[in-house]
Amino acid sequence: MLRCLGSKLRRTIVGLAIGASLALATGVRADPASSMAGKKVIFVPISMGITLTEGWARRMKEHAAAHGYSFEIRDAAFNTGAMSELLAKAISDKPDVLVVHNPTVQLLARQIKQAQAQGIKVLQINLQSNQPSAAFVGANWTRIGTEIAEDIVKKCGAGSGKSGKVAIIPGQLTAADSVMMNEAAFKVFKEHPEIKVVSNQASNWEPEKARQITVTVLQQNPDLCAIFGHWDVHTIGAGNAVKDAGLSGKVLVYATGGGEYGEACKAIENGTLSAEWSYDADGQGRDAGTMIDLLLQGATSSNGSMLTVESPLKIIRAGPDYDPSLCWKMPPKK
Amino acid sequence: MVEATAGAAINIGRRPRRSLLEPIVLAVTLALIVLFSLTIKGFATLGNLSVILSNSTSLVILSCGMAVVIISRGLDLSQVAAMVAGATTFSTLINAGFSGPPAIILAILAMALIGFVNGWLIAFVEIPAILATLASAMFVTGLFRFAVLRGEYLLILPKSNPAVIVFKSDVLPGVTAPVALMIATLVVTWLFLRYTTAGRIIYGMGDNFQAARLAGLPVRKTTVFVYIYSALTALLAGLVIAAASGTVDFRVVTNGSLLFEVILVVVLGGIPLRGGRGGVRNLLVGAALIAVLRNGMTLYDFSTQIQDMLRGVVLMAAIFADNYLNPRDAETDTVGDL
Amino acid sequence: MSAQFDFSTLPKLRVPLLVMSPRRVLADILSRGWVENAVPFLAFVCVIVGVLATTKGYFTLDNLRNLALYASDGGLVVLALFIVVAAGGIDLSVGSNFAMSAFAALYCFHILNLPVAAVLLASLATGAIIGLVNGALAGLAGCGALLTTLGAMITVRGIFTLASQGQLVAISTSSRTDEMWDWIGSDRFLTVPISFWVLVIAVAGVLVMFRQSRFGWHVLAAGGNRKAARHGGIHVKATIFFAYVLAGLIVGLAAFLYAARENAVASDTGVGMEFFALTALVVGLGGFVPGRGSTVAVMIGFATIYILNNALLNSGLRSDFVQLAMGAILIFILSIDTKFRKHKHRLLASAYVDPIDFKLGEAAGSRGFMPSEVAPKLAGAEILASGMIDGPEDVILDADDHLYCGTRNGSLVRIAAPDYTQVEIFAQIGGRPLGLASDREGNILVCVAGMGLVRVSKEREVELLTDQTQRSLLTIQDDTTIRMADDLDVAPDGVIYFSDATRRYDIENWGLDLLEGRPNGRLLSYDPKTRRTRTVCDNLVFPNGVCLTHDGQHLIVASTWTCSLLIFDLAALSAGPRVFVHGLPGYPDNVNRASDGGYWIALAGMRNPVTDLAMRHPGLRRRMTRAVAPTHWLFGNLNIGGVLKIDGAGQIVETYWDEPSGPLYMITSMREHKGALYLGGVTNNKIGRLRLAGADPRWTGRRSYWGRG
Repeated sequence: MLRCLGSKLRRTIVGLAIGASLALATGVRADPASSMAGKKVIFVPISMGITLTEGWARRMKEHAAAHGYSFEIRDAAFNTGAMSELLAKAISDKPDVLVVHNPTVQLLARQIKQAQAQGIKVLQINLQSNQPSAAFVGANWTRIGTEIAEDIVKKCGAGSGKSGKVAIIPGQLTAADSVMMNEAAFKVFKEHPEIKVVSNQASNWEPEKARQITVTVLQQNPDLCAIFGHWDVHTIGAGNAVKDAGLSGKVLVYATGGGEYGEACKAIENGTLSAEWSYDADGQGRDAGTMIDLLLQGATSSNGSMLTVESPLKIIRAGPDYDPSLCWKMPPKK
Repeated sequence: MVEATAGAAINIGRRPRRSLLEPIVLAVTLALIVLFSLTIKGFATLGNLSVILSNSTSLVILSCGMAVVIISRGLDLSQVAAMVAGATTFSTLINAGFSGPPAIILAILAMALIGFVNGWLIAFVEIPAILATLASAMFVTGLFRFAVLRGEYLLILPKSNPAVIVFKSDVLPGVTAPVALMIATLVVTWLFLRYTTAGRIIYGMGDNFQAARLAGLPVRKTTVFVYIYSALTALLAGLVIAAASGTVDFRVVTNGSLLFEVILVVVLGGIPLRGGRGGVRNLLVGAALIAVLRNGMTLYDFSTQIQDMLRGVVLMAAIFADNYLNPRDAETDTVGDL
Repeated sequence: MSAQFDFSTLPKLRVPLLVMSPRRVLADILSRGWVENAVPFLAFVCVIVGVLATTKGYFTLDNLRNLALYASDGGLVVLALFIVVAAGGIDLSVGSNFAMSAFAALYCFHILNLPVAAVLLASLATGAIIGLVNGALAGLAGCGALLTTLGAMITVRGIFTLASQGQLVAISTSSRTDEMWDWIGSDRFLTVPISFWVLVIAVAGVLVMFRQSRFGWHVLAAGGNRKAARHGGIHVKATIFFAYVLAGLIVGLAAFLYAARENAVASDTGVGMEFFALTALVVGLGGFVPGRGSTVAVMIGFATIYILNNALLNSGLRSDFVQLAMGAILIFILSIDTKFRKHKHRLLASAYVDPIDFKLGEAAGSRGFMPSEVAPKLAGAEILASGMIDGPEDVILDADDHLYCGTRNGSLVRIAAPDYTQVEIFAQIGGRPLGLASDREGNILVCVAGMGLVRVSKEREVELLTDQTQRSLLTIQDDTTIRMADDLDVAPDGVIYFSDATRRYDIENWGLDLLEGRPNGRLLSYDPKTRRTRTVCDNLVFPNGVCLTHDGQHLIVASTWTCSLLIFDLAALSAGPRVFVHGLPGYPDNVNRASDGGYWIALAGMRNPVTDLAMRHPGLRRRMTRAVAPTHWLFGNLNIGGVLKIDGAGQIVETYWDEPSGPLYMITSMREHKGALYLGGVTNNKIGRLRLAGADPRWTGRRSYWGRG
């Protein structure tokens, strides 16, 4: 008798609970904006303290605030070893979306796979990994590499009267941008045997190291025609070395970057850089924010491949074509 | 007979155990100069000499401070952190619209404070120097990035500012301000070590710290002073570097190679890490080898990696040669001598 | 037969079960070896508590697994550096070595397609070769370790960059996978990551190495004092060499684990690792200390630094703030640790002496026997062997009337009968021989302060019978060792009862035990048949002389500072002691049988009212030991001594006082033998002999105990 009553009671409670949760669930679904509320997003950048990641973080935070999901940053401070640790912890925190900025194509591949397997949607930003995931927002490195290489061929190649010597300065040789840009660039250079790549040394994303590399290269090749730096921040160091050697204007300094005014446009204004292919970090930040919103709402591609947003490029050049409006400005910190 | 043995004993006791590292390094340097002059066109020119000089200014200035610390049987691992912090202080003040002199004075005060804290931790709290400065390097770097740069790594210095131009201009025809500063630092360090009371106390502390303390020498105050001196040379080097490159980059601290290079210069010249010996001359010898080697290898078209590697090999060879020609006395060898 | 006592009517003595006070707990903790690691351990606890309080979900199982996975290679590197530092060196090349070995592993795996076992070998070999170079230069050639490994660091980093430059892209785009490789890199065994098991095994290995193995001991010896190690016959150079090679090997292992886990290296791999490892080591060891093998402490230091850094970074703080906080915390820990280590012994010294309010009853039963009332009979004593012995605390005679006594330099000497002018060393024991007794076979049993209970056979063979007893309940300090064996006696069944006067002070500092006034001593027994030592009664106040009663059924024990004699019933030892005699006029030392059925009691010194009063004021005595030189302390009167004789019921029947000017001073023992009393004193250089009028001229101690001899 008593047991019968107990089971009845239990059934009623379970029924009520299911009913309530259904009601709650439908209630939430009714408002698309709050379907993201309370969800969790973690961003693991290579390092904060640079305009690129700060610019992204600013926009992503705006999205998070607007839609009520949480947004956390785990700063690896240019330490690739620390980064995979941070990612491991981030995965065990079980966020809904994980934003990853890959230092190399291989380093975080396993963890991205693991996160995806656990149902965490991984958004790779700007630098992708070997491992595909839910989404990618970033530049088309192959295109940038090809375009810059073609530009170098035009300025230094046959008929230019220049030596055709080019120095490449990647951040990390195995970072996605360097892997893809080098591949594309070497493809172009192969068709133009007059172009000689005299140096391809990683700067570890440090301006001072890039400066040292450039000083050495310039000493060995005073007739250097162009420097292809894979990121504007460290390439500024290379540009300073060119300037100090009194070769401003004679050695062309190409860079890619987030196109922040204080970095890119200032450097172009004062002649440290000759041209920058900007992927507009501010715009990328908005793209990433939008992509997070979409992922939180359950967006997937129809065939299961990566959702991809390619950042539009802005080419900022020194000289008569210089247009400071192509840069964006980081608001000053409070 | 008795007299003779006694005399011999005294002789053995008095024979100075001089490190042979200095003459070896000097000989190697001279040999390298001859080699490079013969094989590289344009090595033995005045132009290249000035390149060598200006490339080694900050290194030499830093090693002046480090030499004083090492002679006092200490080690300053926070020197590069202080260098960057000093440059940051100066640059931030300049960017905030201060004129040169007050900015310099404030930077000097800030660096003296860092040196004082280091010295205080070592002399009064009695934390071993290597550990205290290791920790304070972290603290200073973190503090300046956090409080001054607000998270940035990089500070851009306006190259057009008159205060910055001062550090790049020519003082005399052919002598740039950094080179002049380097010479001034060398002279001051030499005078300080040689002719001041504090300088002599530093040798006493390095030779036998306990004896110096028991003899009533003001070892604590002197220790504090030594680290302040080191921090001030760091500031000077930081200003020279910042003015030259137009940026202050905090990653110089974390990758550590500059710090090791400074220690290398000091030790290569024959200043032992256990202190008490050596002087500005030793430091010049060490710096000369590094500078000539670096310049020659660059002119030889060696990449930075090969240069690094060869530098390491030269260092190990020099240490080995010194040890072979002048082996340590196993009876007096103690564990503290690293 | 004179009067007898009735055991059952004597007042019972309450013996405390436990002697404990805050100051004693502090002093005991401070004198333990592990207190050296207190600050690192506290720092670890603080970090854990701090992380628990400020984060949620940090110590979940998932994240603990993460920590275990990622900490293992760092932990191994710290271990490697620890071995080198223990040998008195330093290795700055660990970071470069790590990168190079990891690259070797990846190159062998991805480019050469070698099996995983070969990859492991390649990684280990790379590490070992670099260790070999370091060891050859810093160990065999004896170059400065800091510079040598600095050079190795720069060189290896250069080689790594050169070698990896051409291969990194190929490695990172290689698609080779291998089950074993992935298993090592990311799988678990018993829910714990594989790499952590490797770390655990390595730590256990190093722990055993430093505790048990010859090589480990040699490493510590070479690190502690090179000269001493060399003079001790250790191949110092080879030892240091192998320490570097071993360290290189461990770094190679760490790099292999890293390579298997990350499947990639970057150009900055291992940069700054030497600083990290050094920091962890320093926090664990509390400084840069060669020759210390505390593996566990080093691992605690590592865990502290690792978790602190990891938790700070993971809490979303900016890296600059993390750096600032780490620096500040490190300075804080180091300051506290340095100060603690420096002042620990002072704190210990000021906390060690722990007096209590100690009330001494009125002197009783000695009216009419005091020095002022009777003539000093010892003034007429003969002096034997004057100047030939040093400090005969106790004296004993054998069947041939030879006289034996212990001396300050640790020997048992024999003074030959009949004229007692020939002194020879009978046996060299060591320690400080105090009380003597003779067993049934005629061997001499000796209580030796600093050693324990020793038997010297007639053939002059010295045998240590026991030097430890059971540990007392609830003590922090390990008190199994017998610290100050004082006097003994042998029961008819052969069991030896002896006193351990105090377990807190050595023989040189016995005076401090008086100032403390606490029950620090104990009565022990040793059974030669079972060879077992037992604590008969713990927590007695300075138990000194031990004497079996004439009936052989009770045991008299002198409790020196309470100026009383306790008595035990051998049939009911666990019932505890009763008070046999109380209110003695001085401090009783040894007790021995007298020929008329009474007992002789040696008085080492006299009570005085000032000391008795001072004993009521513990604070006064504490301040006195800290502020006043020992020569000026208030103390009992040790300038005049004497011998009391009590009857079988405990009544004083006669007193033998020395004169204030000597000749015997502090008398600690007396032995009746054939109508004469032989007197010893712990600070004397002679033995006194007093003819006793009316005593049995054939009575000897041996005959009284064993019926013959």
